[in-house]
Amino acid sequence: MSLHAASPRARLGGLVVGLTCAVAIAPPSARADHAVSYFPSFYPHEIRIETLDPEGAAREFINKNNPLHVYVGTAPRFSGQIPEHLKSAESLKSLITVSVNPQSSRLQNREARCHAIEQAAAALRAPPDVVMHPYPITPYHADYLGHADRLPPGKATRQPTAAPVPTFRAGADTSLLSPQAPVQATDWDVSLDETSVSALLTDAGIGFNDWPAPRWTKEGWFQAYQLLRPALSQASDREQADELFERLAHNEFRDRTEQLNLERELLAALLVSCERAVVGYRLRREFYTDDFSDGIENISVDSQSGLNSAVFVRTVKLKDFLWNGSLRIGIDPRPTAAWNPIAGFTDAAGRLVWSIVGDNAFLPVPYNSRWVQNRAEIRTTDESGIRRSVRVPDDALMPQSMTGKFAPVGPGHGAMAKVLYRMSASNFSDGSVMEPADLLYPFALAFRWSAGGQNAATYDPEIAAATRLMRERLRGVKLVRVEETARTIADQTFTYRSPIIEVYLDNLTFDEQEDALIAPPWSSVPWHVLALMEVAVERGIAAFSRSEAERRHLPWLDLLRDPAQLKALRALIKEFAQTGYRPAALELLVGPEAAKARWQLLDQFVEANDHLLVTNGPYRLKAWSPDTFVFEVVREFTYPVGLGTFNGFADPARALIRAMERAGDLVLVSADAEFAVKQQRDHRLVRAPLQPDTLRGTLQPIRPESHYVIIGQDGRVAAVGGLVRQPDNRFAVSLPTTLQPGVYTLFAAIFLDGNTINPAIGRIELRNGGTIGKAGRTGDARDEERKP
Amino acid sequence: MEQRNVDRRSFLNNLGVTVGAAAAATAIPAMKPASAQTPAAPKGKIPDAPLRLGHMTFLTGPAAVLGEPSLKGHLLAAEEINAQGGILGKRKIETITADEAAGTDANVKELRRMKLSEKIDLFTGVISSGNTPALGPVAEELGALTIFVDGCTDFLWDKAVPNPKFAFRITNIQSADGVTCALAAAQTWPQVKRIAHIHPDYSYGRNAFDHFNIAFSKLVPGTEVVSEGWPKLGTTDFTAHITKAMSSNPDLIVSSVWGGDYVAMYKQALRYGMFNSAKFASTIAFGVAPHAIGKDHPEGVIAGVHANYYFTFPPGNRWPANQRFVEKYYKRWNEYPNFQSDGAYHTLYMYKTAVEKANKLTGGWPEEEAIINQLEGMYFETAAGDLYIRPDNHQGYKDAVTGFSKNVAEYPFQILDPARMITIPIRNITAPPRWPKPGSGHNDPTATYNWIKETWPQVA
Repeated sequence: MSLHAASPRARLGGLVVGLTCAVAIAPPSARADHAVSYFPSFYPHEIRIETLDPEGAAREFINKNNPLHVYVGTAPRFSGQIPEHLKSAESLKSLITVSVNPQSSRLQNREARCHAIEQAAAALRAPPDVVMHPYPITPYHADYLGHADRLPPGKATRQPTAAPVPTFRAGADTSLLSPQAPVQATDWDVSLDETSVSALLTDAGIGFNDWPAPRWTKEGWFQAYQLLRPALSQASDREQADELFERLAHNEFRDRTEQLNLERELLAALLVSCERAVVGYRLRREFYTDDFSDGIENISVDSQSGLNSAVFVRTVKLKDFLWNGSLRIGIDPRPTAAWNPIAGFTDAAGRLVWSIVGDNAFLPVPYNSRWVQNRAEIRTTDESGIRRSVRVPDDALMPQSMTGKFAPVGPGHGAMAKVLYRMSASNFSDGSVMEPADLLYPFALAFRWSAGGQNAATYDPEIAAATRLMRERLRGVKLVRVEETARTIADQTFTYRSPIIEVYLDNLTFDEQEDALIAPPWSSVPWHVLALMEVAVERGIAAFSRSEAERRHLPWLDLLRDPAQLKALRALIKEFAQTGYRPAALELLVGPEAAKARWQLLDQFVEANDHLLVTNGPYRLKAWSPDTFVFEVVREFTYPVGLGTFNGFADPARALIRAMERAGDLVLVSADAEFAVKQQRDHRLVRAPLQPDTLRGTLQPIRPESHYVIIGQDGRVAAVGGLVRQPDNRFAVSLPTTLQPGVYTLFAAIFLDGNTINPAIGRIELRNGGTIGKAGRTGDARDEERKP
Repeated sequence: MEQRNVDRRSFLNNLGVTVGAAAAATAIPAMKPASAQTPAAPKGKIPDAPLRLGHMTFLTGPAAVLGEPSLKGHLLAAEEINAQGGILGKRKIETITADEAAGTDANVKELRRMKLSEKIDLFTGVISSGNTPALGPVAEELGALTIFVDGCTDFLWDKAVPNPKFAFRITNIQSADGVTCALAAAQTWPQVKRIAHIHPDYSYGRNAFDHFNIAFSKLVPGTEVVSEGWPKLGTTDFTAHITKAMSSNPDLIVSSVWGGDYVAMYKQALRYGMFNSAKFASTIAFGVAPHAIGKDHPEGVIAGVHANYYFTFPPGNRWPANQRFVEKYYKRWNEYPNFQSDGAYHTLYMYKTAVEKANKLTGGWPEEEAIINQLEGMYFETAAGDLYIRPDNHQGYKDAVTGFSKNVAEYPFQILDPARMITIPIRNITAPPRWPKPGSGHNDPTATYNWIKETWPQVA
């Protein structure tokens, strides 16, 4: 479909029709049997979330009539032995830091501070869920391999010396301290603190709600910056760290080797002054029932959010059902954050709810720091893989700052990247059909509420923070056409329409997926609900974010649980249904009659459901009380993502390195695979040599991703790369001929299907006498052969 | 047509319907299972190039519950054959898999790619009846020797490939599902008059409804359909259908709802006491994996297995081929096989047997034509009983099985009652060769439907 007409309205005219069209055609034939190749949404037909304290969760796990299936966030408190039918999953919960008191007269020089941190770490008692680990990047960060040399094996636990232990700040998290550790309310030396990864990300402006998150959200260097940067007292240290961070965030590096060196330099810059240091981390241990009949299976565990993740709810299956069944989830504590998709859903319960009802364009891969396509598919273009600027079409649209109004970019504009998306549209839960305005309006809202500062009528700092990357880099968006695809299920054919959209960005990267994550043209909430929230905030009914609510002494906007807000919102809907209100930004995209129809649908929806949580996700809110929320599955075939889509993330395989040896210019790595084999309603863990035909429990071949890092004695990364599978099933590093003579350490890991969690890392020391590339296979092999 | 008055018991006996622990596969001249045979030395020079096989099945999506057992059966057979040196002792099997969930168009492309680029020697697998009618003609066009493990629609041979040369199918034909269920119900509960139906609202449900009714009405005079429930695809709440069926005061409720939908339905029906208010018969309640149905499932209902194989049939080691197969399958995969496992496993052995027989005749690696000649009309021992490949339509025929649900201590899931297995020779409930296809003198849903309608007596 061509879009070269004069005005945006005209340009979009052909597209201002429903983007979703599912038509069932049932020919009177007998061409299909029972096997249904596609089922919309995911396994449970109902998800019930209940707030339970740890004692209550322990009781409900052994409830005979309706047992709890999973307890999210923390471990239940069992009065006796843990029941045999329960299993647990571990993930990174928090980072434990020691911060030096800048006022401490004893710790004014760097050496004293570094020593105090070491002494403080040695004074900690580590309960079973705490791992002493004096480095910010942990085995639960996908970039751990690149820092493997920073934590020598066996050096994690520091031994106390005869020097006096520093005094700890009273009131901080002292539960980890040994009883002998001195604690003072004033004149303390160090503060022991624990920061949850989720809180760290929230503070960094990452909400895991309707906004896209940066691709590096789960990476260690990013989290280290958020955690340690505030403690730097010297302007020069801050400037150095900021400069390195910005270079990483803006992809200002030549290649992966330089990128890794920048990340390591950033860590060094954050740690050099010994003002704050990570001394360990705590694991989250979450339990679920593995009972033969009443248990659950197909579990995907996010490395950092554990079972509170979008992919978990998209893979979990009740054993007693091939699909369907009611999943009972317990969570602690009670939800406190408001439920609005713009700056709400920020606590654990909120994130879980959004992962159930919302449906972002991309979802975090549970076991690494990448993202998987959900409602967006990236299409290859002529520019794909080429790092050069492109022209932005004159008729591409850009939202204007302050107003959010869309205007053509006009002639003479360029961008560093173009991303071509194919979006999977579907109906919203109020029955409204997804239209281009729904896809574009989040851009308008982001620009409108992020400019002008606190004195502006339309400003929210949390929206500004969450959308900064997108606003900085977006250069234009253009609706290209709508594609139709048909899906035949049994004897019925469903037709889906998918908008094809170009997005232009100023972003330099080698990674096309990274570009795609910055500004996907997508929303899981229709434009009219976004507009309703905006008006509510403008009229002082509530504020989008917690911080603005506190600053303006307003309620935090909630689409569900505050009767007064809901009453005010319903009155607005009635008003808008009369007037056909649409925001100024959409006046060229949505006509008054179409707007009226939207408000009427919303009015009917709230009348029937008594809430405004309207989304296009895989589940819908069905019922709730203060402590229980019930969601029902969307089995309409208009929903385009189906059962089993994310099953590859459940029960991931893990590589175990058996041996490493050098053979001339090669380093050869032998590895086993440890993987779950599905059997009846259970799994068993199997270890076998890693071969091309090694199959996972899903009978899919395991795809190894192998990486190596070569680090010189100066601590610089000399080379990074991948390993190549050999005919004998070993993996080979072909040592780079550019490696200068010297002594190096090579670290290698194999991530099966991309699983980076707690990897087995092999290491071998290399002495390069300058013969690489010259001596053949028998060359300079005077290395220490090591097993991991 | 003039109605004949035939006694029901006599007619069921005539059909060969047997029930009880003594039920066993149709008597066929004793033969050794191929998997237990030590092949004679091959004749002539056999190349040692690997044999490339394509196996397409559902690896993702809801139908993966059927696809995984199929691939497991295939892999088990391939591993066994390779351990013996390969087919004719020389050619080891290499399997290329494809995910059937890619969609019919993509599957057709994949078959072309497998044949033209990968040069496969045999194409196997395929679960969905939505796919076999699309793949069958392509297999014929490409000259790709194909043995479908499932995709059991009558339409494949009735319409899509009426005169196959390269395409075969090992599973029982779909119309047998409804007919088998009807025969089992008629034999067990001949007094029922009022029948309520709950079927999924797509072609499988309609096929089961049609074939159950035509067969049952012939066997039990004076029956009446008092309720029809057609849950839409994706239904999770079956309450309306359950209560509608119950309120019609039926003697018997018949259903072909399957998989996770069936589990949801029976659990909801338990709450309403549906299984206490009427007899219940399903074409496919136990038609997924044996471990799929829990012990809360009602006992004593007809729990169909898609008119196919069941892992405990016949009980008591009356069919050593099955006992051996189940033991090997369990040892390899730590679970029990379903009908897809049986079909995929024996597909390879059937092919192996055909190659060996052809080799005896011609020497060397036989031409495809010679292998096809051996497959046509082959009697072959499988875990499900003896399989006969009808030469005219290349359809596999083996006894249909169904039975009654029962909890036993040996298994943590519900199984078919070993003492009350029902078996029916499939050829006696399927249209004979050259019976007119739909559109050739009649417009009934299938040839079998028309054959039953036209030829079965109305019993007294």
